[in-house]
Amino acid sequence: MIKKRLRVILFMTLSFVSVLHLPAKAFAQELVANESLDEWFYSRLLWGAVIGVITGLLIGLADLCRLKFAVNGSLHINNRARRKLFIWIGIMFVFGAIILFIDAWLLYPFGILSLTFSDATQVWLNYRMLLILLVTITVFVFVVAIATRFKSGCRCRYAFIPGPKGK
Amino acid sequence: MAENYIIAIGGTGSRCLEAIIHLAAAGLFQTSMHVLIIDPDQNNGNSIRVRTLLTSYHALHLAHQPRGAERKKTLIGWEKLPDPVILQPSFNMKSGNSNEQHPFFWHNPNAAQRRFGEVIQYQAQSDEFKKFLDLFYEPNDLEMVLDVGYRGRTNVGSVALKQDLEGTRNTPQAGLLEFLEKLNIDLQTKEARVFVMGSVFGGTGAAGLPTIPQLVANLPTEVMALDNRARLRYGCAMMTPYFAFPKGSNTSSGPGTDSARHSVATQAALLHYAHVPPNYQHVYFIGAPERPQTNSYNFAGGQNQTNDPHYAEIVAALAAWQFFSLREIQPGERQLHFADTIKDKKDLGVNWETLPFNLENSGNRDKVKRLLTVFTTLAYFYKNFLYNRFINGNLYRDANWYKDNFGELSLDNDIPQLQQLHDYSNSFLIWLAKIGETSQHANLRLFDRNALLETDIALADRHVGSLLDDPMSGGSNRSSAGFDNIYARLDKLKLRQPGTNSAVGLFLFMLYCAVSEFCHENYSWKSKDR
Repeated sequence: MIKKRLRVILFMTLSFVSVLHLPAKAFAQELVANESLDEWFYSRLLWGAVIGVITGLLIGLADLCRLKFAVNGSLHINNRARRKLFIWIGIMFVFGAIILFIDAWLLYPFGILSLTFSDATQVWLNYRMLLILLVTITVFVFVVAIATRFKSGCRCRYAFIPGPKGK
Repeated sequence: MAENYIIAIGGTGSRCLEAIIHLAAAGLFQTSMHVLIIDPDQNNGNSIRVRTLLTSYHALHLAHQPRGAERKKTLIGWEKLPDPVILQPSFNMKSGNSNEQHPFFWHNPNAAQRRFGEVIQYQAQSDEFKKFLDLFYEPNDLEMVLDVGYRGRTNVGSVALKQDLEGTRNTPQAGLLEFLEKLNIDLQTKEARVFVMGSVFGGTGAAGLPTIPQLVANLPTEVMALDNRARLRYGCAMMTPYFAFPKGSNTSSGPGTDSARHSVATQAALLHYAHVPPNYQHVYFIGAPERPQTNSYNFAGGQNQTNDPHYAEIVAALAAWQFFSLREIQPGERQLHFADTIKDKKDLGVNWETLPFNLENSGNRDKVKRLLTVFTTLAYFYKNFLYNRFINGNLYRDANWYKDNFGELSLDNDIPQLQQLHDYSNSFLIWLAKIGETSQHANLRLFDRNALLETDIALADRHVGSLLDDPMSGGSNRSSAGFDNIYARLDKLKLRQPGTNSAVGLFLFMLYCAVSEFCHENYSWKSKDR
């Protein structure tokens, strides 16, 4: 239990430090104009929110609401649902970051430039990327909470939004 | 509606009553009942077991389940749920709002060490009359201590029992007075039915079966008016030899019992009944071709005489059910019922297709199977998966179904009833498993007896969806993870309002709904009737 807590604290600290070290201005700014970066950011922010809604619905309804009750232990699966949500957040974070990198490197047309791998890395290592991921994950968590709470007969309906208190 | 009256005579009668209680708990009987266990062996193990069972049953019966409950539909709106099914009929409930019961055991006020010679006042008789009595009784009989009943001696029992019963007719709290009073009240306005169960091979049962109608017939008219008596209908389950026990030896207090004599004793008793018919409108003649040992030792009586149950007792309970559900019984009607498992010269064994059920309605066969299966699954589920979690840590508090439905009700206050539910479930499952054990030679196929007593929780999870042993539903896609399947149904159940003041009653009702729904799907039962 203590080991687990230490791991969480370590993870949070490292995440925080890494955010602090993100350059306020992209190294690629010399290559890519600020306006282009903002355009990329806003268009991907919207897509991130949409993906957050879709994955939130899918994971909330198809996975978390259908978690199996265990023959032993507690008579609810709220804790398991919360743990599973953290795992999904981690997966979303990693995959989201990879997708954003591929997007910046291969898909999005920054003016007439075709970015090299190292240039794309510099564009990607930007607070904007982190913001997009944060918005996506926030929307994802919000949708999961709403979907699990209001889906009729969801097995973890009180995991994220508390329900009535049993006496 | 008039109550149904049941008299269980002797150890065998008690065991038949045990089957009736279990079938009533499963929902087969719906009308309240008044029972009287008549056993001169006041500490007989079989009747003690039934008395304990009746106490547990009563505690659970008092946990009122909601009527007219409505559940939330999947999308929108509410749907009505069926009324409660299990544990509904009351036993020996006093009238009014009281939760108290009339005694269900006949208390014999006589000294336990009384000898039969004292009952008939042998020593006080003239020499001439003594010689006459000697024609009927051996010296052993006269010296027999009646502490453990009549030890298979019908000639002793027929005299002693009649005399003792008549002696307690006016004794409050002895059971018989309350039984007759309640019967008389019911008879003022409507027909009442009395079902008597006992063996025809033992001392108490064979003596008691013809004694009961005679006892009522001889009542003074101020106790029961003649008009009332005319509204009385009698049925009985005559249990012929269906079990055995090891041979015993004579003791200082009297002769031992010997199951090898059962067949001869039955013949003698039946011959007597043929000449002097007991006044029963419907007689159910029940026995079994194989006679397994239901006790490893020979006990003439007393608390050690606890025999394992047998399927013949379920048949006796079904006979009572049929008798009580008959539409009309004419006073002069005389019917003898019997059935066997032979079809086209082939023994089909004892299964859901051959158990003798109410022949007036063939749909009942399915009904009995379903009710028993649902109740067995419920008892199994509660005992294996819920009880420990309820008692150790009150884990129900965080469960969704509890938060959604219990509101002001709390299971915290009903821990003793939860304990009773566990004890009852355990007794029921042991009873069912033992029936499977004692009926091995009868090719019995009702439930999977090996699964019933499983205590490993992982294995129980696999078995809970396969408890029913029925070739007719063998093709169904049975769940191999029954716990999740049933618990998920309980978890999503949301009632419009609790509809009861009893937390255990509400829990039982909800669990029954979940288990019933599961069984219908698991065993591919077609009908929507739940």
